[in-house]
Amino acid sequence: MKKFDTLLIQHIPNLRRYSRALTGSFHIADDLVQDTLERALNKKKLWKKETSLRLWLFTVMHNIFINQIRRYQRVPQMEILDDTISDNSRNPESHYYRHQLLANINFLPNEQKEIFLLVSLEGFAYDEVATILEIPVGTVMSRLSRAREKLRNSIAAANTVPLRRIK
Amino acid sequence: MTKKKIISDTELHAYLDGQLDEKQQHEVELTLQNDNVIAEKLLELQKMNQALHTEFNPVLQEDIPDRLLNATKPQHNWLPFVASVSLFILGTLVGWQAQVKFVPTAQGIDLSAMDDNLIKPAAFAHSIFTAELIHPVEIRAERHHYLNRWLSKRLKTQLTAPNLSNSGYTLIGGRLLPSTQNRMAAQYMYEDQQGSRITIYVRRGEWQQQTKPFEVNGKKGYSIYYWIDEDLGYVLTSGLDKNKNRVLANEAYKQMSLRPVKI
Repeated sequence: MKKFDTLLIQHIPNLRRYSRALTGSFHIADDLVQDTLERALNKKKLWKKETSLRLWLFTVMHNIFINQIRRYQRVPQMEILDDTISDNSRNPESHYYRHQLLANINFLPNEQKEIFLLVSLEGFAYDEVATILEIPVGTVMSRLSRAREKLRNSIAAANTVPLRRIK
Repeated sequence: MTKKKIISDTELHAYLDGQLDEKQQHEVELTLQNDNVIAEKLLELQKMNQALHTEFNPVLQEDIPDRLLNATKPQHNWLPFVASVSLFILGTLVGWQAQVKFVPTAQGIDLSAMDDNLIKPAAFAHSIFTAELIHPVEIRAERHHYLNRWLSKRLKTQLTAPNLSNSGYTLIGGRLLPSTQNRMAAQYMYEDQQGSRITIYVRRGEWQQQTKPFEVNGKKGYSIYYWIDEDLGYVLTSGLDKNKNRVLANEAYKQMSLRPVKI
């Protein structure tokens, strides 16, 4: 059996990706990951080997996130992270769309934001999300659908340019 | 005629997320063929997922910062304590100017290396760049988001210029510098209303400890405080008296290195 730290390291990239999207901040995201790893290490006896480590780590991260929500949310605006570093979007429209999407994700209530990101970004199944967040699957589904509709509508609203015919 | 089934948002989302069984999936697909509004909606949802991945997938390719790698390994709690106590005693007794040859201590901390690789380069960089009237910094504070991001990327850690306005100092900007041991360093510079300048110098090193800010005796009226946060070393240099400098160093330390107590 691999050592626990080797197992943990394999999950760091995904924890970082989720944390980056969740906190909306380059700077705070790794704090959340670090707290998660430290806690996981301290509490590794609580990990039941029959559940996946990935699921358990996201559960740990969720608990730290909601317990310290103020600390992780001191950044009001989600930054577009790659605008100076690796702007691979030659297409300004897609860049603009992403900008709007990120801004609107930032406005989602946390319980919807978490579900939306766990499903859409991290690809968890609904029942896995229910396990991570300790809520019924039905709640996962309804919140997810509310989150997506909200995002869809606010992006659509922002893109509706009122047309005025010049006479 | 095909029976047109109304599908709910929840079903459509479940289809998008691959959460339906074969039969349900088939039903949704039938509806999609016949209902342009639903098909359009699905496209929008797919676009949303796509954009999300375009934005955040690069994170998966980033180098994992050392502090996260270290967080996966059990810590021996007495080590940093012993290290910081011995450092404190030595630092207080001997001071930076004394030019005593330090030998590596039992804990593997080489104080002369710290002096050569952290404190001296920081003081030198301070003296060079604070004297520049026109080009004290490479990136000015107006672009501090960019500055932080750039320095963070080059030093592979999350750096944020601390806010020292409570002590009357505003950020002028910062720069990237070469340091010793083939490393890079970041320098932030601040100024008060009278034009007195202070710098904060940050770099990685072979040290592995956790200390509070300590004073070292600087030469020529410089006041120097430094602290170590795992493998990151920080040095705050100013021309202030040491009490004022201590306040600044503690403030910078609090913002840059002190994490809230774990729950």
